[in-house]
Amino acid sequence: MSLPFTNAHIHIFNSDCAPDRFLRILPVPLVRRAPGIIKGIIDSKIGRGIIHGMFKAWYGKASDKRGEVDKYVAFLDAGTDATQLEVFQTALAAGKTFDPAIRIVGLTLNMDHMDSQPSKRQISFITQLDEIKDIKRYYPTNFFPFLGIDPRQAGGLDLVKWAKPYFESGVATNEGKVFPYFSGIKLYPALGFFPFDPRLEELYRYAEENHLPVMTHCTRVGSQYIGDQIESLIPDQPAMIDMAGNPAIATAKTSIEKRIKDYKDPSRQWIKNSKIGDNDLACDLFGHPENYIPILEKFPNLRLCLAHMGGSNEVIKSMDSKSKLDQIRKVDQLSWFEHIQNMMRKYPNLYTDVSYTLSDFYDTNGKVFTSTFAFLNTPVDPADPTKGKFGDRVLFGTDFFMTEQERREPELYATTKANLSTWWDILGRVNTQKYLMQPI
Amino acid sequence: MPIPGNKILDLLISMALIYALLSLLVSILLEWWNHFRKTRAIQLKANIFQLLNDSINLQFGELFYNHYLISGIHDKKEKSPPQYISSNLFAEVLIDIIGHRNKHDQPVQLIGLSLNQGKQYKVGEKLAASSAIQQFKNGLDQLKPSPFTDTLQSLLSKSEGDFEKLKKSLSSWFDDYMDRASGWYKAQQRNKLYFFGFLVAIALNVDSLHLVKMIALDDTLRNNLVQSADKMADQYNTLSDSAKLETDALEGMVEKNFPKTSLRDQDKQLTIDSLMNSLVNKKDSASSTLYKKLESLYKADSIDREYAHRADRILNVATSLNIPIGWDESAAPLSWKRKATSLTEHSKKIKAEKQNQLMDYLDRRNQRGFWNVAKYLLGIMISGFSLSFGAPFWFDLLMKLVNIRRAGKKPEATNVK
Repeated sequence: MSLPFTNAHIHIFNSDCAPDRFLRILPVPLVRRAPGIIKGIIDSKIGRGIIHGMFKAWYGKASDKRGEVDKYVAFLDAGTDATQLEVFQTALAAGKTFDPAIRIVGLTLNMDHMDSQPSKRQISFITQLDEIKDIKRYYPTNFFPFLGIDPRQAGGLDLVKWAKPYFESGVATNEGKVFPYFSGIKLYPALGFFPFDPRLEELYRYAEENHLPVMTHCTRVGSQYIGDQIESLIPDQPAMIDMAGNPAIATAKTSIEKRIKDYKDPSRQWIKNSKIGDNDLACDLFGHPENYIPILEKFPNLRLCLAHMGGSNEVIKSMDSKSKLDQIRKVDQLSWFEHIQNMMRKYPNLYTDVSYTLSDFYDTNGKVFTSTFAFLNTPVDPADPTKGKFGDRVLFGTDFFMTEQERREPELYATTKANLSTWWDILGRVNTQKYLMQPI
Repeated sequence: MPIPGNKILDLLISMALIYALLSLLVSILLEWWNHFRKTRAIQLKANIFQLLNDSINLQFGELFYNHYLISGIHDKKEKSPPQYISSNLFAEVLIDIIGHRNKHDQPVQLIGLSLNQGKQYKVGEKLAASSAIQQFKNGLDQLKPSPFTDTLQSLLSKSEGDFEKLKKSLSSWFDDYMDRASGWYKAQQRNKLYFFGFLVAIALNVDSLHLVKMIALDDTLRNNLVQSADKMADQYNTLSDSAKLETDALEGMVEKNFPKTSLRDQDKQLTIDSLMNSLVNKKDSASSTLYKKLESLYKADSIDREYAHRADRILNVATSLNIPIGWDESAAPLSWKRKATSLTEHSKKIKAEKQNQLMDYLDRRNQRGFWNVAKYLLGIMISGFSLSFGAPFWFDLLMKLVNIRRAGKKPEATNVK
């Protein structure tokens, strides 16, 4: 039986799910100062039309930037006007042209704790999940949602008790196949928590016992905590999932605490409370690949995917003074891509995916694609061929609709299929099934 | 008998007629704006979100609007929510949302795992709810206690297990809430009326002090306005009380009194229609494409065009009555840009047929000076404020004034007999 093609990484939340000041994730001072006003403008079609027109007029007819503006507006359109169901249907239509039986993993994000200030217009996470359950009922064989988790909502067994109904209830198709509503767990630490938070330990145990995969965001940038109390979320020595006498966890702990100290260094002031939510560099601390070592040590059978291969910047180890990357690399020398490779060598249930990074495959002179392709073909352990290649634990995903600002969804499928050659089916069919383990 | 020389009553009738006509224009602009901004639909959505808000459980407003019975009546093209939801539909959707949560959730159990087949699940045992009301009850029982669920529990217990009674209770709850919401909506519209009142006053250069003076001095203008008001009064009295509060009905009444002003629109309509009719009968692809394009354009902006026509009709009526409004270089405030001497000559030339008193007034007003500017600004402010009262108010006042004037006519009629 041929395995269905799977896109293991998309988002379908819309602007209703995001906090009022969500646009603070954009590193633009003006937007960060007046995110509510700008969200109000962008949420209306007229507002987006005016912005579109202004940008087009600004850049002129001959500029390539016009295309970029079109794509950015497409990204805004995808997330603002549509319901979650409509966002999913758009992604499904694109995917079905490559496999009519396509499976799509929709990652939910708990954005209830993303801001320090309550939002008036945001729908709650549990309401978002109720809508997701309906989409699963409508598309049981195509849609495989992951449950967003945040230790600030509940911890320990309370968190498991809250999450259980989402994994232990579901739908039966007319053909008699039974699917649970949710197929895995989604972590988004940049929203303001550490993945090694002890409040998550019981949930990891439950996930390991029930063969639930975990997907986590793993780049230096992305949606982030936008509140004004970032220091309170990053203590010098954060509590951590621990195992007495485990040297790997002890080493990771030392490294994590040193990184926090370096980032908090008064001479750098990379971590400080900001009234306009300038918390970009906190993403590095929350989402660092090393943060997952305590989890992988304690739950070795847990299937975990560190998404995006660390991000394009990490794949090519670029330097950028604007984002302080050149300074960061002095205190955090190994790139995230290198960290992920090292960890994949040690932990056989650790995965990564090409989502979002694939939109950069043909930018930066093809360096990202060249590095990725070489990575796929590299043996995990040259001395032991039975361990296979890194490509055997890389998943296909697009990161729709985040990628709409880079390339359109069908284009991402088409160009990736054309260039990954034999890896296309391995990433999209074999690896994703091994990771998801959903009924065929 | 008519009160001879009762200029004050005629003046009041004339002013009320002008305000009534221009208030209609304000109402049309406000409706246009509300249509453009989808205000009614947005307000309805906000009200339903508030009604169904349950901060302890779920935001049922969101689930309500995503329900297929509601999302099905969304304006797909404009991506806007419905402008109207009946209380019956509200009740059915709410019952469905609450019951639905219990209806579709099935316990599942992991029974096997293999690389080729993936995980295998089976459906666990679940007690099926026998009826819609039982599903509603089960769904409600699953929710945490909250003011919202308490309200629903209360309505459920009063329904005594009868689905129709429950639906009726929920419908009444919705209607009562919407009655209150309608008051909030009107309060919001009131502020917009101020804005559009001032917009019309400025855009059409409606200086109330100038209007009063002109009507007082220009007998022809005053008589013309009073006669028009008198004609309208008969038709106004035939309107029902509710129609008297509706812009459409009042517009229809004005149109009947000034039928010529709508002729131009009919001509336009006929031109587009006849062109489309000629194209639809042709079989070639070019004609077919052109027809489709015309049809889409015609349909796309038909509502906007209708608002434009309605506004145009009112302006035509105002023009036909020679109401002294609008921007003209020979009239203040544009006349203030001219030199005093040339202005006087110009004024004399165009107003040669008018009485001396009127001439003197126009001459004085057209001179730039502190008091003229102050009076002009005050006149505009009075106009803006007055126009915000709305057309029903001014038509009602106008007809009361006309009736007072008519009250004086009766003895004369008796004498004739």
